[in-house]
Amino acid sequence: MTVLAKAMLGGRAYRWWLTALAAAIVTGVLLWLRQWHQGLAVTGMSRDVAWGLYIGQFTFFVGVAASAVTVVLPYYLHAWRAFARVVILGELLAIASIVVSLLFVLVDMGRPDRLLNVLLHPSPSSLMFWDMLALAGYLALNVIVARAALAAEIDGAPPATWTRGLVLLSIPWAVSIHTVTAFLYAGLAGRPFWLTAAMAPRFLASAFAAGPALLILLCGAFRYDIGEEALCKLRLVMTYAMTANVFLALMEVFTAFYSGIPGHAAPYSSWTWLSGGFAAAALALALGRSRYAPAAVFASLAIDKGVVLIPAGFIPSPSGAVTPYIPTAVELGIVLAIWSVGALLVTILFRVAIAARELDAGASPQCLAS
Amino acid sequence: MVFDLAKCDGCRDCTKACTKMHFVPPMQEWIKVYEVEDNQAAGSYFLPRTCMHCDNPPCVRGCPVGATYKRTDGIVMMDQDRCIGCRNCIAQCPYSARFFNWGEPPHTPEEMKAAYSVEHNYPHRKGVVEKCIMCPEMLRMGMLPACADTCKMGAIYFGDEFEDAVTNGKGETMQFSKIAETGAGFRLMEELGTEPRVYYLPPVNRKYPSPEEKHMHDATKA
Repeated sequence: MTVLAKAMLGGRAYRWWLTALAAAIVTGVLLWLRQWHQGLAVTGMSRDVAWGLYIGQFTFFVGVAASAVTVVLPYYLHAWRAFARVVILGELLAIASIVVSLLFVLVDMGRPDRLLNVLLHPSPSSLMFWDMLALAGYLALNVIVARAALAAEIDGAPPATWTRGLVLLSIPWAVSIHTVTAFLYAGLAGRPFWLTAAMAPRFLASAFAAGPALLILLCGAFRYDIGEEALCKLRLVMTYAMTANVFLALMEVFTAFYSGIPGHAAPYSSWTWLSGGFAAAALALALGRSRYAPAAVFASLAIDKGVVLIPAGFIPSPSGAVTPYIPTAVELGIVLAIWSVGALLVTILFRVAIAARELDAGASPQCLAS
Repeated sequence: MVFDLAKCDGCRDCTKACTKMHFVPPMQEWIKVYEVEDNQAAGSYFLPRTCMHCDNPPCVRGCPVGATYKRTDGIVMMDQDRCIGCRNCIAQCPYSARFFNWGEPPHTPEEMKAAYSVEHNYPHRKGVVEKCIMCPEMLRMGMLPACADTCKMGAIYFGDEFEDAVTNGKGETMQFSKIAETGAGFRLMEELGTEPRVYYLPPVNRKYPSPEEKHMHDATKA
């Protein structure tokens, strides 16, 4: 596969980019070994705030993975040809996001060496068990489908017909992974901030905004032209989904404050208001068709869902204790490393996909920073 | 277990006895005594809290590996040989009854001499969850849990709900159904449906100086 080999090569900037990612990943691995040795005490988590940045980031990236559905569904179900150039990127982004989210679960575990206990002692009453099944299945579906699509493209042939069934299965499966992730939080009796039926709908809305936003940003970074029509449609999906997300968030605020139940209103701190403010600003940019809208939407959701949502559920604790949560440098280094793993996967997978596409179109591959 | 709040004077001997018996690491109290003031008009009282050993335990439901489980006698147990440290049980528990060993807990030589048993949960380890396990080793010997055994006020009763008898550290045995009924026994966060096995008798007609008097007494002494 000379196409693949060629896609791996690149210019000086590309090599620097890979070096930087590798350095971040190596640093992260070292920090993680330190965390393993000293325990999760090296993080900012505490007795009252049992989950922090790791689980927040896990949640956010499950959403990005699920958002592949925003290109897969129109393309395969509604035969919307404008997404022909972007659909494979959506699937590849889903693969990278699932890997990233699973890594975040791994680094959050107190005993990562016992990971296999989840399979050795399956517990169907635990939503974590179902979440693992959903994520593993979704990863497998996307790997099989994307691999078949890429192979067909490199051979210049249409994708194998047997993949269609799997693609269609991946659509409800994508919805399921983020619904089950929402259930992890929405089913907890003692955490009023999360105890809301709007959690899963809101997760899906914010995912379908963050995913297309990231896809638009990545196409820009790779200087990959997906066509004006596809770009407009992606932005439209992003804007509508972001509107739905902000609407649902406002519903939460109403319920918490009009009911006046202290437990429901207490978790609204300056952090939640700040991330809400970011979301409103991002929505305004999207509605105003600003070119910065995708970056703003992605950043605001990465903060809202990836940073604020999870610790906010623990503050105050059921006994009323207010323990602030501030991530430590070790924690941030590990988060950066996992982001770098995701960036590395995206770099390689996207370059292969774009090279295969250009080969198909008879043009030379256009690559990131080559 | 029944806590008679009219008798609890907040001395925290129960916490000390528990910590001693199980070598409970610092920053954990498997039994913790809170001073509670429900509203400004009402006086404060002391509220000891352990694991509630719920009959419908959210922690057990949430554990992805079955590391925490309900024994047939009602005790919610915790197996640190199986726990993966995901802390879902901590998120699930509305009573904040669970603790995670964020770092390597400080050890005592005495603790390290013992072989780990699910019935005493030590030597303690990092990266796993711990909680009150109601002293199964004491129960095996027909004795009260350490907290109930040590309480000078006799505020902590323990017994079998089906035998309808509970006993405190002073050896006073009461008919559970009777004290629960006449004493208007209640349970914490009843509305969540967790069916806790820990009952409380309200802090009325206190058998000790009220916390306010106690504070004033302590202040004058200091």
